[in-house]
Amino acid sequence: MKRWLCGWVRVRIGGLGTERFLNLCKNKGIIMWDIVLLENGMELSMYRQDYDSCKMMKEKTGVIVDIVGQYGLHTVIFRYRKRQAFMMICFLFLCTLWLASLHLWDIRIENNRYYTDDQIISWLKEQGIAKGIRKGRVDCELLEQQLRDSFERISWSAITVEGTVLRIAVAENYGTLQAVYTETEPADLVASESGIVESVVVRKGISQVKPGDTVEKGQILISGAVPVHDDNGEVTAYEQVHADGDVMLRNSLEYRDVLPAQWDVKQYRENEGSCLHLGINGKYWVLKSPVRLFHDGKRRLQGWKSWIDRDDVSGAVKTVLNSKLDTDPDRTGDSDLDADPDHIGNSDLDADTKHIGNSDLDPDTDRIGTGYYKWYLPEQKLEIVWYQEKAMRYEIIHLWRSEAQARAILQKKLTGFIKNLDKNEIVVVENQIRIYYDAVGYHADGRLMVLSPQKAHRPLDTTGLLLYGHQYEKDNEEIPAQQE
Amino acid sequence: MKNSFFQAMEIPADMKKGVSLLEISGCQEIRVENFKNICSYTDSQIRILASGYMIEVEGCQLQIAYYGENFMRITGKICAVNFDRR
Repeated sequence: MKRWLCGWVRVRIGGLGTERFLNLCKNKGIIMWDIVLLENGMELSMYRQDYDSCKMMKEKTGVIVDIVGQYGLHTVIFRYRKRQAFMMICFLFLCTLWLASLHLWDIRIENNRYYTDDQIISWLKEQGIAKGIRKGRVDCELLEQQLRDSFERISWSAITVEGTVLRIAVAENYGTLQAVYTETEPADLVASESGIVESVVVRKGISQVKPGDTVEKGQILISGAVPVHDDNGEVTAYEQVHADGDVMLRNSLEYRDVLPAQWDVKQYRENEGSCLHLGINGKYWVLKSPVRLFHDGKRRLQGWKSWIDRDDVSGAVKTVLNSKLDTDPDRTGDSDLDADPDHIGNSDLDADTKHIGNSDLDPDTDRIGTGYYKWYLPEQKLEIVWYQEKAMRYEIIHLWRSEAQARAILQKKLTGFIKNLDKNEIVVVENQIRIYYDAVGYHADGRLMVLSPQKAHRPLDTTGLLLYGHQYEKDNEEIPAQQE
Repeated sequence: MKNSFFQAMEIPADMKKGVSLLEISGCQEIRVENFKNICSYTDSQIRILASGYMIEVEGCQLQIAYYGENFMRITGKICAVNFDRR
């Protein structure tokens, strides 16, 4: 690189004193390389500036020195000296590159699990650090200190500027403080809902209820105030603990679900069209549409189904489109899912709809595009997305559900509901739900008898209680007084 | 006196002033430091004057790849390196 920037010449040396010429040049500090022997002399390379200073050695040794070729930046400049616009563009390009290299263009945060990237980046913005600022304005050591002070869970941080990237590495202490707090806080175990006590197992604290008791919401089940007795069996003080145990309450849950007897199916036609979209910084335009009125003011026309091929694009485009398009109220209200909320798991879908695939069930997940370009200016962002959407015309057909189909759907929903209860450790002991048909449609109605574990805690109310620690201190104070 | 001092202090030989340092990489490259000048240069033999002796590098297709004030680098098919004390 240095050779290319300074420029070098290839010279041919002839005569008798070639070795002496080399030695004299060496003694003068001239660097030579690629010295090749020829029949009557030799060829070598030297820096362009050294060639002028070797004239004295040339006269002293009597060798003949001829330039064979010139290489480097100066020759390029000389070659394109008449193409001033080209040279100017090259110069401007280099200047832009140099200017751009003086700024920060990306912020990368590593090893953060508790604090999100957005939290740290917004904090950096408050400190005046954002994409596009000059690198010279970043004081890494000061920023590290401020980061540790501002975020409690960050115990170590390292901030470095690597090229045009600000790299922030942090180490967090996960949840230690919270665990200590919950273990030591004195509290009662209380009922989170009304019901009948089914079983009580106490690990810490004093039980306030027994199996068969009826409790109201908020009633103490296990008390965190443990009485301390003296030799006579009298209560002298109360020790504060974090009440712990397993208390199961029996209560009933009401369940009600309605399924309309009639439902709509979209029958798709074979003719298709495509729609080309362009989005700049979150605003979207339609460049091409299969019908003129495909995109009206609401961006969607009744009677058309649209989707995008998932295989077309990369994950970056998908992410941008999901974040941009899903927030658009006109687009999220896709008519397919809204018109038929119960068709999930249905076996009586029309055969023509099957080739639509997944997009028919969950259109939002298929919003992917075909192109993505992002460009950052200082404090500004230009984001361009373009993608193709396919469209197909459909007709709505009204169908009637059979009783078997309706029962299967309602039973499936009920099973899902019970599974959700099971995830929350609620056990169903009795199912009193019946499925019937009336003018409105099919109904699933009734009650579920469940056993639910009680885990709610309430801080211990110490009003009027003589606490164990205070009593002990009081005794210690009285002893010296009696001695006197 | 000088040699005995270096031996007593266990100083490496290449730390002595004026001693040439030869670094041979295989049989295709040799790097010479602390030399005075080149006495002769042919494609089969290069004679280099060092302090008090002559270094003769023999081989074929010999070529000086770099020749500077501090060191020189010779490439080619090196067969022998001789030292001529005179």
